Amino acid sequence: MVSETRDCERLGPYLALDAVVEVSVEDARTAAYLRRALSGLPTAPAGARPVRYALRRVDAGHVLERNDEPVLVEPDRGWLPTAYLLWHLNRDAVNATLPRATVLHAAAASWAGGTVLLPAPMETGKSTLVTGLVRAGFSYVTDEAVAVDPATLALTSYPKPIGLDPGSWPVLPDARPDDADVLPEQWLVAASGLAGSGGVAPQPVPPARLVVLASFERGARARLEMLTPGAAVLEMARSCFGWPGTARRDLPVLARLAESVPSFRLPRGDLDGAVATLRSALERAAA
Amino acid sequence: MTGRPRLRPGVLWVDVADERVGYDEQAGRLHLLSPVGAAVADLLESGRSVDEAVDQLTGASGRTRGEVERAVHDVLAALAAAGLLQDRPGPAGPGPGGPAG
Repeated sequence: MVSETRDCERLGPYLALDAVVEVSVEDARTAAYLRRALSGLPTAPAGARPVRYALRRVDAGHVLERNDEPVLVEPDRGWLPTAYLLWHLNRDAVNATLPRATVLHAAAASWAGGTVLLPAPMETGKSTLVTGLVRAGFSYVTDEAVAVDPATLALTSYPKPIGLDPGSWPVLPDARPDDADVLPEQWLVAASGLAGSGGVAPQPVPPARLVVLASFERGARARLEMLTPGAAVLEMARSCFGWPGTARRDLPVLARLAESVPSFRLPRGDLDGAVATLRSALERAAA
Repeated sequence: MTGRPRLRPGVLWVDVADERVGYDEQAGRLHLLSPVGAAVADLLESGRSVDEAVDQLTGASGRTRGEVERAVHDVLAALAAAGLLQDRPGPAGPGPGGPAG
């Protein structure tokens, strides 16, 4: 790939779970958008070798490069490489962490000195729910992945920008970024910029106090339904990155987590009801 | 089911409180055993026959032998249906309390 050398804005290096990532962006508006969106990620320690992403414009179109190799060339939709960047960043973050830790596909947020883990597959509303929690004062941990240390069950956060798909927009209109047109199919929301935000969770992340499998059911009144520890392991295993390659390591980790933390299902309709339910549950768990 | 059925190798089992979760590496399936299922699995793994497992659980549970026998046979039928037993059942013949309920 031959690309013109132009001035790029460099973002990072950030720590994305155990991955170190750096982003070079040619377009100033996209750079500003990403700088805000990525602001929750911790700064990487000096000396670490980053995965380098670049968003450029060449004759063939808009390009995403990863470590100087093109991974996407898009002739028309200039925003698409930015969307792909986030996808690759998630993948690099998870892959860098799997050798060390169990990585759950989960949202998470902290309140009252404890963290609620919300494992769930894609498209089940976990980003919506965690946005509701953060704007109610919870601290943001992640809307995508959380690492669980196999020895200590300590959590590692991944405070990437919250990705809100169009289905969430009517529920959370206030979360719309001012420059939402930069990425027209998804809002990338910096948790600390939400009104009422509890900010990004501190390090170390408060310990897990609840595991909640939330699911949207139109019109349902939010209620917690206790899960047995075994049922919780079954559900969390379905949300483990790296499965089945990590099953031998991760099953005992999930078992210890489920034995030490109560687990529930949360059928939910309205967002505010679910937030209030989780806040009360975390406060009870902390008492 | 009579004889000494055994759990099939190739399944990762982990105890979770009084339950068990298994991951069948060949089939790529997860399984959850209830507390009764986990207790039966423990006894099978320790080499007990079905009758011996029923005896032991009857003594420990305070239930009648018939109740325990039905519960154990239900567990064995579920394990067999899920492909989690190593051996096919032994020669036919109802257990001491009658056929599995």
